[in-house]
Amino acid sequence: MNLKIAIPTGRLLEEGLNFLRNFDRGLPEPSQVSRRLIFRGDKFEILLVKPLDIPTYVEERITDLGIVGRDIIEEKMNRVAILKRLNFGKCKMVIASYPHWELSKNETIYVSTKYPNVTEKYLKEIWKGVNFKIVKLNGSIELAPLVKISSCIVDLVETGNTLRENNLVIKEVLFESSAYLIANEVSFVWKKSEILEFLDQIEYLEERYDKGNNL
Amino acid sequence: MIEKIIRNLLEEWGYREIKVPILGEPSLWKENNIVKIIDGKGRIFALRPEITSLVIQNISYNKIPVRVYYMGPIFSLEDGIVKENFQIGWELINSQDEWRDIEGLSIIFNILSKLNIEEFIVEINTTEIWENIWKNFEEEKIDKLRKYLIKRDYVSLIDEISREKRRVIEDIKSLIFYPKVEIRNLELKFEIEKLYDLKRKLEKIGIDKNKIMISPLLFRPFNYYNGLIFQVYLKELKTPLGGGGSYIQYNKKGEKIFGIGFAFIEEKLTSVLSDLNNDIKIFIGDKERYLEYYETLAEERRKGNKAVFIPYSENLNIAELKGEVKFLE
Repeated sequence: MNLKIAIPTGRLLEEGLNFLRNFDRGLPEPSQVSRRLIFRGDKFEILLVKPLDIPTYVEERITDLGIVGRDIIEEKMNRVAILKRLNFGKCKMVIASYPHWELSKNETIYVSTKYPNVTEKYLKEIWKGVNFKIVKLNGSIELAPLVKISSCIVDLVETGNTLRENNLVIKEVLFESSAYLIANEVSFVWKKSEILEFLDQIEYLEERYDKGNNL
Repeated sequence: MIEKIIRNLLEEWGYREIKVPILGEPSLWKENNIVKIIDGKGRIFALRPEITSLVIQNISYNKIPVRVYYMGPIFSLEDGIVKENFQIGWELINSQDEWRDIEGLSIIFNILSKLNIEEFIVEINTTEIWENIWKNFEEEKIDKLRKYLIKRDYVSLIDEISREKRRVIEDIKSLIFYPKVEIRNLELKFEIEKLYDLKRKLEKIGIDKNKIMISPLLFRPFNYYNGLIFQVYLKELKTPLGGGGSYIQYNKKGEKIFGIGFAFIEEKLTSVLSDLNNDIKIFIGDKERYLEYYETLAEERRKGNKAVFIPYSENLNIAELKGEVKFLE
């Protein structure tokens, strides 16, 4: 197997790398990675990439595969093949606001988010007839209602602790997210047997995990 | 150069060039990214996003095979910016038949071979595979599933199907994982066997079997496809070179047109064919002495060679020039 895989820096790095180490013991442990952005195992060559850039790396065929959250796939809308949902990095994309806040059709609702495309797509669907404006922020989204930039937010929630600490509650879950395996469509032809072999190994691992084996 | 090679080959096979308008009725295309223009009388036209539909509109079929090819600019809107590309394609109009599909595919192999492209794969499938899957669903559901398939979102495709349709989920999984997983559904198996039969026949006419990949997962996004479909992948490209297949469409007289065609964007090929102009002789000299050199270049052209003049400058990067470089005295 000779596959190039992009994995995200940040919250999915450790789980992503540990997941790949199930199939390639030649890869370093997360604690050994330090500042290296490219490294090789016995089967995989790994590129550490900012999460939002992963679909681009795969679409541009810099790597054959990528591991990335569903939130990023939905936001970036790149032309990649979405092959498999993985069993880690689980979280939810939610609308959150103050407990007493209610949706009104008589006023323009300002929504802060890091995910303008996801927000536009889902709110158009579920807030029919509501006039809303998206405020794109790059971080600390929970701050937006506190400083009155917007009355609600659309953001990714893992434990909900940050929401709670800022007196915000989940109003609606837009979708459940987790890590996904994506592929470049040309790699999925030229390296088909290797990619299918990898998918097969993942299924086998999941089956063993489901049966309670500690992996 | 690419156009010349393709033109020559297609004409050897009896294809003639067809020229169609750049403007068309917007209703001809369903794409969202169409460039529209309004004339002085308020009429709206579309700048063609592809040429095939216009070609079919202008074709009549009289029980004798019609062979046409086309080359020309196409337009699309990308992030609000008008993008122009050059499309090349060919159509063989005839009722559905095996010889027709074999000719349609073998032209692709012949053209790529003429262009000295060695590393490519032609993925083939039949629309019957997914038609068989759609039989299990209502129209509204099929629309949704088709969208996931076009997006290649295989996870959502399976998620969308209710757990009660376990057998269909198994069928779809076998299509995704094919050939690693065996296809058990007999109707699907039968269709795959027909593709193997076609592959064997292509082998008989000298086509390298390693360059043909049977891929039941392949799906082309237009409803008019009916029968064989295919997509071409070059090793150096990050997206497919182009695709096509067997179709049923209507011309502007409302007559049913059966055909097989293939189209691609020329810019994708030029990006991998940098050495096509290597047979050019490049003469480099002092620009002030152009008239003195004129006869040298003219003599080369009389001999049937291609000859170009490039003025010498300190910034000239000789390594970037494609062709045989000569310095003029």
